[in-house]
Amino acid sequence: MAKGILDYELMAMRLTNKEYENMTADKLKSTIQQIYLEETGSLLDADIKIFHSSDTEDSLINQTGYNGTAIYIDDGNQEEMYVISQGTTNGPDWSFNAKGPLAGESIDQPQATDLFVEQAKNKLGVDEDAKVISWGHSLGHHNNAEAYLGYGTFDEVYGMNGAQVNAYQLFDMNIDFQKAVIEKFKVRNDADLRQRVSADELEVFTKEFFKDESKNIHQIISSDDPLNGLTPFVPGMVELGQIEVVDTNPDVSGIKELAKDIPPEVIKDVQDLALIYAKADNAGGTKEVAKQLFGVNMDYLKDVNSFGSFLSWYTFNQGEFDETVKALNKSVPPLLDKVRVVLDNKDLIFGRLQETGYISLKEKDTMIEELELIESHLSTIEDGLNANSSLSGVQFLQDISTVAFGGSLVWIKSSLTSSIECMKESGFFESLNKIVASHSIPELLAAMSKGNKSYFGTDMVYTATNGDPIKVNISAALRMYRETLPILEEKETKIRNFEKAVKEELDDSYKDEKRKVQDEIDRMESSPGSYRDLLAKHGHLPAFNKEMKTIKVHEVFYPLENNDFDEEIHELKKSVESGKLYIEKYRKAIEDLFDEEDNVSRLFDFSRRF
Amino acid sequence: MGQKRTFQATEQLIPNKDYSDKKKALKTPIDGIRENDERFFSYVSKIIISEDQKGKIIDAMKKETTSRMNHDEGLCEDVTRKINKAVNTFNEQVAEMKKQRISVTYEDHNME
Repeated sequence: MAKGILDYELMAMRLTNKEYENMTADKLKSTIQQIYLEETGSLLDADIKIFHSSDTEDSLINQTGYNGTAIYIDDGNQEEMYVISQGTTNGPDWSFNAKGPLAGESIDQPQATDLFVEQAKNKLGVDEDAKVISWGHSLGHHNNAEAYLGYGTFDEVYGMNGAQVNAYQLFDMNIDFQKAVIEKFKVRNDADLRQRVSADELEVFTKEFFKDESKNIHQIISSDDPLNGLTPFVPGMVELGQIEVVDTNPDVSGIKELAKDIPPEVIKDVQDLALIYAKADNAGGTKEVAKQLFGVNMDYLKDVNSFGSFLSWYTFNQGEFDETVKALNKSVPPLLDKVRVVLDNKDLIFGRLQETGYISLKEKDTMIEELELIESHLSTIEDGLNANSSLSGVQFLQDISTVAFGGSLVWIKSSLTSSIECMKESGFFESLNKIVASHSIPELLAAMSKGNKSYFGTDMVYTATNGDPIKVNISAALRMYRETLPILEEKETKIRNFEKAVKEELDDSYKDEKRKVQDEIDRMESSPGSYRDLLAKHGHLPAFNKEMKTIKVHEVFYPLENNDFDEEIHELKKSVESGKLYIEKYRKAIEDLFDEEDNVSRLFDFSRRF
Repeated sequence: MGQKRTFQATEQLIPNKDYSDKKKALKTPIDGIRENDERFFSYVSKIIISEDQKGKIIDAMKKETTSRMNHDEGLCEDVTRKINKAVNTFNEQVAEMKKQRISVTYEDHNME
């Protein structure tokens, strides 16, 4: 990476992962300063301004699901803007994954990225000459690279385990590229291009066309990243830029090895099923998966628990039945096709996953068993749909396949959920998490240890150089040193509040109650005539012929007890003071674990200066 | 002129009231302090990667941290207990204060 103010690979990776936390502007600023300090050992002396995509009211940006943050930074010598685009986090992102990078049909998010950058420049007052650098993970990199190649949004693009650009999208976005493609392949439009030109040819041409721009795209990719492994199988998807490949999980042979020998169309179907599952599971768990897979309103089936109740539902709720059949007609055949393709290649797919160490034999067997069960029920539903389209009324009720069709509908409602739960319980999905983890930035960071410095999540870890090789989370230590002092200050305020509460709620309040009693005593003693009811109350009847002369109250007031919190308040105050000493002691203990040249002491000193 | 008579009684001068809500007012800052302490220690707990790491300095700091945590937690618990006691006493003493012995002197005209 060319050296800009924040242009450090590890800093980019750590901040890009932090972007997912959607921090407040102030929190992000201090995070930038701390990461800068840890990575460079120096203080970042610069003006920083932040603009997040949630701050824009532009519906074009918001509707696409795009999320990102623009960081303007000016250190007096140069000004730059960094744009961090988030990867997949929400429903619209999942939809865009399918329509954009994979199908090459939608350009919504790259357009939103460009629009957001324009707005951020205006909002933050960024000079036209200022360099704009993008950082992105996964879908975030895709959006950045597309916006760069399509609209010239950025000067530099830095991607981490990024989804690659798709030539079909670029054909829609970049007029020069479009013209060149049309001229080269003699095609009329997008549809013609897809029909007449092989994806491989288009990909080669795309790489050549964007040869110069590619110099400004830098990527770091894990050889175990599943997204990276699938790139060759997506039509139109092109890997561009200077690419650094890192083996982040040496225990397994890598995703490319896993995918080798599996036909591209099979990979595509597995990928589609995974996307459908991931999108539905993300929307609301196992039940939602059933609902989204079949497009069926599950509420209609709430009383359908047996064949009898199915017939009753069919008879009395024809509207619901028709709507359900229509949804199944639409959803089942394509889903079944994909399940069948996966099952036809079950030994290759699940066998390879097992051989390469990603899943166990038991997980493999459970997956095949449950998928076969799902396939058999889906086949019955499909047969039922075919047969019943020509039947009605009594004919329908007499038809033998109706029995199986009803049974399979009951299965959708209950047993499908159990099948998915069985797959989950087998540990298959957890095992696949190993693959998913290889898509993450922390696994990339973990593979980039240098000397006694390594990473834990996005935190920096130092291994002690004095004595035992203890691993110290130096980021956490600096946060402790910097952020616990304000906590102790807050605690001091709360102790003062408590002192005030003791005074007001006990001491003053008791005096107040005493004053009210004293006032009443004064009233009684000065106007006894007003208290004639006391005669009747205390049995001096009849009262009409008696005249009140005096009332004397023999008042007794005791001082309030158990209201002395002096000792406890003193102890609380002492704990604040000893807390401050404890922080210093902890700092010293950590410093003692390291040699002077590790500069740990300087890091602590600097950490309180931003 | 009638005859003057005097009697003594214990009189409720002001109606009683429940002051238990004072517990909440007094406990709120203590709950805040407890929350501060938890936040404070959450920063510390992340510093040493993996609990099983051993070493003289680390062991000493872990020991001191545990002792501090227990002390701070115990202190908040003590104060909370004392708040309950203080407000109960307040309730009892104010109720007691509102009842006083009185001497009432009246003139009985029926005696003439």
